[in-house]
Amino acid sequence: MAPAVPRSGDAIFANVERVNAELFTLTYGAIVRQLLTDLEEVEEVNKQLDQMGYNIGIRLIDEFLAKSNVTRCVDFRETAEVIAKVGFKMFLGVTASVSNWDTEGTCCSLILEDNPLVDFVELPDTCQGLYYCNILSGVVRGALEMVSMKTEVTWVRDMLRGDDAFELQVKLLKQVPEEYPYKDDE
Amino acid sequence: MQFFGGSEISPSPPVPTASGNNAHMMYIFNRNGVCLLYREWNRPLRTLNSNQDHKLMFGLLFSLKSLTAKMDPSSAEKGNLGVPQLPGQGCSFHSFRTNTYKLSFMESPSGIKIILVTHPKASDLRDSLKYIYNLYVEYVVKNPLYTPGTPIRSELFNTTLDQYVRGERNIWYTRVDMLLISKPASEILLLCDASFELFSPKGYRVASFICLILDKCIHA
Amino acid sequence: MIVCIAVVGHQNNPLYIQSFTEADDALKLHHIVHCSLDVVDERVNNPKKSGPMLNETFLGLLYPTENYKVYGYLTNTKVKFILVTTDLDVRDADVRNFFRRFHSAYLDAVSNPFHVPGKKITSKTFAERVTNIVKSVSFHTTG
Repeated sequence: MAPAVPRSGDAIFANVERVNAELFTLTYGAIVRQLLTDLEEVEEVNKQLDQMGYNIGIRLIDEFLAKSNVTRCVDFRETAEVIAKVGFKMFLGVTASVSNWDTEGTCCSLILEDNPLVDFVELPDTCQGLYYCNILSGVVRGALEMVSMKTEVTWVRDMLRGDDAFELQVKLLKQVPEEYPYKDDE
Repeated sequence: MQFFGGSEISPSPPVPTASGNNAHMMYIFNRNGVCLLYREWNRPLRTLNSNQDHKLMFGLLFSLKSLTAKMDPSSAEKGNLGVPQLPGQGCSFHSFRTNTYKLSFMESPSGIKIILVTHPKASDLRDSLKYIYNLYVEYVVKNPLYTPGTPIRSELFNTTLDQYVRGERNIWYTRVDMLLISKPASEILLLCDASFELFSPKGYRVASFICLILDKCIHA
Repeated sequence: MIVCIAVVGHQNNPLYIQSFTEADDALKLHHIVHCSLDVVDERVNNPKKSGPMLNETFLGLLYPTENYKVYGYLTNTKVKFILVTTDLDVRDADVRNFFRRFHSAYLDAVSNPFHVPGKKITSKTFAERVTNIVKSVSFHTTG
């Protein structure tokens, strides 16, 4: 049988190389600031962060799969659990919880109590519309797309806007079947 | 958090069992059927141009996969033959063997397919394929200048891959094993005396060279 | 009681100043802080006077006035913290401790990516944290 899917990312987290959390936080902060300076529009920055996250996600998925020994997930529920318990732990060092499932099992929330990206951060009044952690939603979207799941990822709660946790809503739009990629006319 | 990719790939690479000089060629495909990498080590006969060859290989895998899923006796929902499978559906094969070659196959959930064609007597290569997948992650995916979905042009990856598949690092283990079987211990000790490098951790190349000589002596 | 706390940049530009009195003497306090900067400069430029405290961030009592005592702290990046208190009988250790906590609050505030180095600290969290530290510290222990 296939090897058991790890239920928590602790073991993997212990093995991956780590980088100082403050360096990480400050680097990300510097990126966001620079984007704000360059693009001027908060909306544009949100978009750009999401795009950056997406580009990270489509690469990160391979590392995740290679290191975690996760095989195919049976359904979206399992996928969400694996992201929350293994994925977040492995790359961010925190664990998310999954809740707020809708009845069809296609929409859920990943809730982060703790988020290393936002240490020190306080949104100034001029960028209230900014989703500071929008890169995360991009990463999740990109990674899921690589395993054939088209999703829509939005922030529902954001601690920087005064909420009590970070809540990321992941909505499964469709599962893309594996098509034969070549045209027949050749 | 991994930012600065380590040089260490995974705990210890599995010995490329018997693929040593027996590996013929290797393909890496992505989900869209793009051949990311084609390496060939020992392929005497070429009948098609490379593009057709890649397509044929991908097509073979694709059809074989849907056939294996169709024939699965344990799963109820298998869909119709030829109808595209959803992720998570179906089953897959690891390898097949003909009288002239063996094809080992691995597919990651992200759609990366790694195919290794070897001598038919090669044993289970699943661990080796997994290791190659790890190499791919470290040398290709993590390279920020690599655009996902394009053919791989990384000299470093190719070299590492070649080394691994040819088993340069590991060759001496097998050779020593052979020695131990074929000669009494006292004689081997004498031989090894002359080659203290054998036990130095960085002396792989030297060691394999010495082993080759020893090998020759024994068979002479 | 601490009546005023100030952060001054390395070019003597004010980064943050906050007074904690009911009375309307903010201007006077600002003046005191301003004066103290000269003392800091003097201390730094004449290390002989300060003797063994050469590598010390805590500058100690800068100068006493009839009503206040003024303490200083200089970070390695030449940012000065000035503390004005009405308590006249203060132990150095307590002040040191206060500055240490204040320093870490300052560090977190400047680590905010939206803070521009060299500009005034506008963070509400920082203000809150400073108020908390000030409230929690009482110097009249020996009293």
